Amino acid sequence: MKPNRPFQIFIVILILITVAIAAVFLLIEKKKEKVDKPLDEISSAWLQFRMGEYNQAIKRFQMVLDGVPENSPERIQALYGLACTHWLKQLPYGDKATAAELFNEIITKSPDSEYAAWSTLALVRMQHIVISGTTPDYPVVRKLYQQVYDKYPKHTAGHEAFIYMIGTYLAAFTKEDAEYAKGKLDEFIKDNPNSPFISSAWGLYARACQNLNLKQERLDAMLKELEKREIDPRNPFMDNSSAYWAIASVAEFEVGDFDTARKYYRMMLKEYPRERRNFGANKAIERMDAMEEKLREEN
Amino acid sequence: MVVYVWALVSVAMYRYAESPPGTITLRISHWQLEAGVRDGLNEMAKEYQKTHPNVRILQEAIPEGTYGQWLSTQIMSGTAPDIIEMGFIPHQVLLAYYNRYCYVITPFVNKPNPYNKNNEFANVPLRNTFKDGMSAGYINELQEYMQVPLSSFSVRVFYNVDLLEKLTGSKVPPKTYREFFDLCTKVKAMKDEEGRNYTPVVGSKYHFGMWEGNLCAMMTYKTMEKADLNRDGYVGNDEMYIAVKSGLLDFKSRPIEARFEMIREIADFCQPGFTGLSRDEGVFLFAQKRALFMTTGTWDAMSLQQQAKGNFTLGIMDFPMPTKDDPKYGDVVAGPRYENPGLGFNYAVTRTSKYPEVAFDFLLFMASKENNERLNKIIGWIPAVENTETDPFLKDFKPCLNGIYENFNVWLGGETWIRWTQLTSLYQVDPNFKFSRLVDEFIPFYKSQKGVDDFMEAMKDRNRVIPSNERFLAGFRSQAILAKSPEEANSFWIKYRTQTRDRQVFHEIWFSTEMKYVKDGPPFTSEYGPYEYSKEVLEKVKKRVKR
Repeated sequence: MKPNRPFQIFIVILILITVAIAAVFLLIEKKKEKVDKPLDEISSAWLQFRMGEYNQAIKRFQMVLDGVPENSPERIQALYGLACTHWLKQLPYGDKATAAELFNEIITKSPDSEYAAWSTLALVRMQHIVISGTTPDYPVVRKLYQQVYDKYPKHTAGHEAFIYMIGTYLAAFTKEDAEYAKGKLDEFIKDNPNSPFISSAWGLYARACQNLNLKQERLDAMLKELEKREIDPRNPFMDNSSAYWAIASVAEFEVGDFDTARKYYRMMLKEYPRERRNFGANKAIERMDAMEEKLREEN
Repeated sequence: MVVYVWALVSVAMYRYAESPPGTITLRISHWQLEAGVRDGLNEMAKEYQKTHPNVRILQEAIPEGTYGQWLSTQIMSGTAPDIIEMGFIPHQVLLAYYNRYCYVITPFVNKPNPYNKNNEFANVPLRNTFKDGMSAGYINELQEYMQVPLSSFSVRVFYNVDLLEKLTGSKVPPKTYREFFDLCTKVKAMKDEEGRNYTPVVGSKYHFGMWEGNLCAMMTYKTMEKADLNRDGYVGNDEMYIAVKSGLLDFKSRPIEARFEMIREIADFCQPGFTGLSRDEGVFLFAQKRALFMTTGTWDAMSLQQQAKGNFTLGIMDFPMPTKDDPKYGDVVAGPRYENPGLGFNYAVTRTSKYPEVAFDFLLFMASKENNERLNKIIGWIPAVENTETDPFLKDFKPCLNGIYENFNVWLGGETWIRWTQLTSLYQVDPNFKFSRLVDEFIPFYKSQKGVDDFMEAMKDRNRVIPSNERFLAGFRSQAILAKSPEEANSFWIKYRTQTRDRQVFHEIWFSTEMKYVKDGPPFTSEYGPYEYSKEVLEKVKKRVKR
């Protein structure tokens, strides 16, 4: 069969045109990769992270790393984002080795930045969070959390590390651990009355008292926890019904402080009229009133 | 060729007339094929177009059986409608969809709805205009408002008024369980003109669960007194397991026994073999005037009314709860049935929308007092917005906000679920399969065989969320650090700290607590339960009162 020469030429030209178009597109793409606004790019990378597009996030963080000066703050920000993404991209393990390397790079290169504090905490969290069904090495994890708190005693990351550390003691249920946690919390609350984690600290204090069977102290701590609870300015609606119910039931059944119990049951009834537990709250008030009445009659 | 060109031109001209240049076309998807829904949305679209002439709203009503798959496909391919009703997707996947594909609406919910400018809500934040404070639109896991609810739903008992009168001589429906029981017993023995027995209660896979969940389950309220180990007012599956395993709660205790006695009684009023029947088969029996009572939700009210039109008079009543003087259930009924009608018909705006601000504006339009009332009037549902008028037919759907609720949950995992379902299905259909036998067959399995495995697996599952929580927290942290204003940063930091406390720190402590309870038993006894006074507390109160 005779070859169809014009057709072959046409095919060759078509291939050349396709290659040329592809080259132009690649060049455009390459040009697009130049980072003009690194902060916007970092925000966009985090958005990808939150949307679960981890490969996209890595690509964008890396793009910032490649496009900004070596010692710029944006570089540290991008490194932190990249480290978090490597750690959390494939659960439960992620790529912890790469993440640890990057977190350490941040700590070394920019020891005074807030990212160094968060990176130090992240390195401990990576050890604390283990695959479900296994137990973390608590003595090691506690020691490391304490080190983060000692290193960053005025930083949110340091306070968060402290809270996590106390949580591990209270999950252990020995009297010694609960006493140790209570003592440490006493110091923390005294030293950091305005800590952003102060409400959580009081909550843990209440829990320590529960483990130690200190009923009145537990109730007092629960009241403090509620008092110190933060209100989100953009979402001022805060559902305190569970806190009210918990305080009221501890006051009623653990402490026998019926006045406090009634006060919080009533607060729940007033502030949350649609709350499912309101029937129970009404019954509790009736129950306490009836008991006091009966005891008065007996006297 | 001429015909082809003519067709092309016609289509082009039709399209042009339908959406001329500058037209904004919004697509809205849902699974509500009930009577009135599409008419209601069309009417809203028409009204909206009067003030927004360049906006066209097209609705896509997809059957609920395929809605989940359809929505997933649309979302994945980037062709999701601008406004979507969220549902029929597993919860964890749904959370991912909200997170990745929907706009956060939190910034808008604390501002007044501009379409309420001429009513009493002119200066009221959007969320406070909803009957539930817009909690149906709030996704706790994300700590954000993500969707706008448009209707309110609840479940009631429907009855055939004419048949009731014919069989009993009275149009008045029973108010208490005892009246209901006596009436159904009487009706069950009666026959129609063709010699067939009347069915007092419509049963089917769909309907019976509503009787069980809305009436029989209420009998278990008092299990809380023994099994609410963390005193949060509810009995979770984990607490129930620990309480039963430790002997704190006897499965043959009155609240649980009462629940099953009532199930037996109602099952006996249903048509034979009802557990194998579908929803439509149940409705068919009711429409044929051969059954007296049927339970369903407000979503079916108008459809039922249409079916009954010219055929019989449809009545609505609340579930007949036993009273405290009921000879059989009086000891376990602490009060009326709690019912807070859930808001639903929730809509979110997708990130793929070209006009998200217009899409959200349309939702605000439908969520305004007057329009929400109108929309629901057309559909035949209950409005989601406060101070709105409900169709008189639905007035009996008034909620009861002070009452008892279910405290029973034995579903730990796959194995327990299967075993429990097998046994309870058998219990429903076989009157010779007694409650004591159900307990005797289930409890060994629950306490010491597969139940243990299921409990441990459930515990593991709870721990499996910790790494995912860490992801969420990393996301919040990034938003807080990169926030554009101090107020925004503060908001994200508060979310971050709240979630750190609840989802990580206290989660780990509660997990350890439960494992300890399983091993050593909970800190309560059969004499001193979570809601019972200890001797020490009683002494303290006595002393105080004496003073």
